Amino acid sequence: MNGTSLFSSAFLVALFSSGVRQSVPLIYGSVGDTVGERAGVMGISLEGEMLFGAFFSYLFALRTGSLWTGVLMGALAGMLSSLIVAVWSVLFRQDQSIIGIMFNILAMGFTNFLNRVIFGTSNANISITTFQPIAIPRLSKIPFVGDIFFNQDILTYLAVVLAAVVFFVLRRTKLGLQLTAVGENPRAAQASGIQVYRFRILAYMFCGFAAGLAGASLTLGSVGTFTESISAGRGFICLAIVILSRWNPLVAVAASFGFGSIQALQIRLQVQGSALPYQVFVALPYLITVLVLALAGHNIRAPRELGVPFEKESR
Amino acid sequence: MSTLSGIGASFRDSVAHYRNASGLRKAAILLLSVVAAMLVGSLLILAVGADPLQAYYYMLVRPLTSITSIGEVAMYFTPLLLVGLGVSFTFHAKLSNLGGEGQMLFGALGMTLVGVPPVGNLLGVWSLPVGILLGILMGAFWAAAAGFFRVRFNASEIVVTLMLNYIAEQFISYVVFYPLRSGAEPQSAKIACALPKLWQGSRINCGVLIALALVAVYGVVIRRTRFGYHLRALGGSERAAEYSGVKRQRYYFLAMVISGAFCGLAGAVQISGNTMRLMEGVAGDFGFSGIVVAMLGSLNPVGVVIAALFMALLSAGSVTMQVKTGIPTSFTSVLEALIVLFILLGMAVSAAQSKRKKVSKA
Repeated sequence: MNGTSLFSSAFLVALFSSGVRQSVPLIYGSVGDTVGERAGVMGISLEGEMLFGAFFSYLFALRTGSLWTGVLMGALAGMLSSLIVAVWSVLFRQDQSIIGIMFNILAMGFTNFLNRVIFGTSNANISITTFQPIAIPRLSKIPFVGDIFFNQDILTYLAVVLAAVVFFVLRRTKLGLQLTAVGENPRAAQASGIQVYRFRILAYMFCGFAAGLAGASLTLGSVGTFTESISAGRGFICLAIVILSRWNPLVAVAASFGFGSIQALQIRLQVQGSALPYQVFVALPYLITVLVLALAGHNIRAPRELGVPFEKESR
Repeated sequence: MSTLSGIGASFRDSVAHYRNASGLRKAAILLLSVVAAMLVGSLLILAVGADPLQAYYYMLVRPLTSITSIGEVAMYFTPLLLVGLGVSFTFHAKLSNLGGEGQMLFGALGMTLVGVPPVGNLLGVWSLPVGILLGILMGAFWAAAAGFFRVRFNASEIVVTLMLNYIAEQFISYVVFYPLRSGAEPQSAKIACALPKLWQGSRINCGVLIALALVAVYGVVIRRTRFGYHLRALGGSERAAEYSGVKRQRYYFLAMVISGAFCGLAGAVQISGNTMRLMEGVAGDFGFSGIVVAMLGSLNPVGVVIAALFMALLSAGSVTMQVKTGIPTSFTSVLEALIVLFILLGMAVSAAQSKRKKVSKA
């Protein structure tokens, strides 16, 4: 591999186009978590909800032959599973990090369990045809940019639309204001008549729904099958993206694209072969996540009551 | 305070409450949680078409029926106990060390570095103690990295320790693929020393004794030393602790490092007492199961031992269970997580009950 091939335009277009695909689950996850965190609940459980979404979307897409049924069931699986986390942390007011971690163990165990029981021990699950790219008229003809951004599958476009809608709702609607109030000052919110518990549980459910879509985009958008622990830490990377993007869903799209491109570069360098061992590239996204947390997590304003359970009875 | 550090407040409350609860009540919560989790688990077993009683027999009773299988239980018991003790240190200070896996991997690397030739041959019998020591140091080092990010940048130790797990996995993968590779498989050479066995015809070894001795050390440090007192003060009420002169950041860092040292030791013991060589995945699921052990044992020295034993039975037994009944071993993860969720539920219910009592008294 020489320098020219690495930076040729063909290589870069392919790289960033794949970067967009890699960023899709990260966009869904971080948009979901942004909503959750605005309401004061942490998405530690994102990783597990993604696994639920990934498994059930694959299962239903395979059994029904319909990718859309798969997407829907994956999102529902993410949402329903998030109810466990919601009930335990909002109603029972237990520590979100412990619940999140236990939920992730549960999700990993349960999806692996089902995978073994339903599909047997063979690693080679049946592959399904994933969503195909849709070229957007005109826009996809723009040199370079067209191929990178406007020739993607439907789940990619939906992810950006979702981010835009959430951005609008958070910034411009009463609902968004109420949600932010619940995360910033739940007592005052309650005093003004907002149902804090209901908001937080709904925020968890939205977060789970989005994480389910993230899982579905992994299996039905790029991989085409379910493998054990397919989410591979993406849920946690989303947490870093949310911090990096300062709880702004549109910035989160850009940040996800950054992480997605690193992932794409990693895969490409692995395939092409390089002087460095491939493990360096696999570790890269995680390493950058740590650095982002260290450097971007400094001196920022998180929702004030993030992670702090709310007790209705207290004044 | 910035990102994510608010987490743990309620946990602290319910744990504080839970600690004040009577021993009987605590034991009842733990026992009920285990029973409830097993009941939910039996639904899964029935769904697969297997017999729950038979499955639980293979998981909980069968492993104890021969000295050979007891040795297999010990293979799980020792690392579970060590990691459980390690993460208990951080839980006392209301920190979450979720990086047990990475720290174990570094501990395993430490043992391997001095265990394989040429260093292993050079050191002879000394390679065992030196390797264990290096393993402890390297585990502590990897945890210190997380502690550094927490203390210096206020970065969530939860996410950082998890990320460090992935990085450690890749680092160990690199090490066994390239510099330490021996032969066709991506694994190191066999180490020259081994932990002495306790019994012929069984794999049980001195590692168990080391771990049990450390239970006593843990109990004394937490209950009888200034350090332990301050750690608990931090976990009980951060601000009060700070007023009384506890340097919060320093204690966070120290708790993390000690926790990593225990996990590193677990890794070293895993190599010198079990696998005898470094390979990918040598730390198994112990990092997370250790958290379950700490929770199930409610950070109590004796409790942690019992919890580790229970979890070791589950893990060792699940292999036989898979062979005999067709239930995948991942069933144990489901069971573990359910147990902790039910414990948390029990804590919440118990806290609510006593609050109601207080109100009715007043």
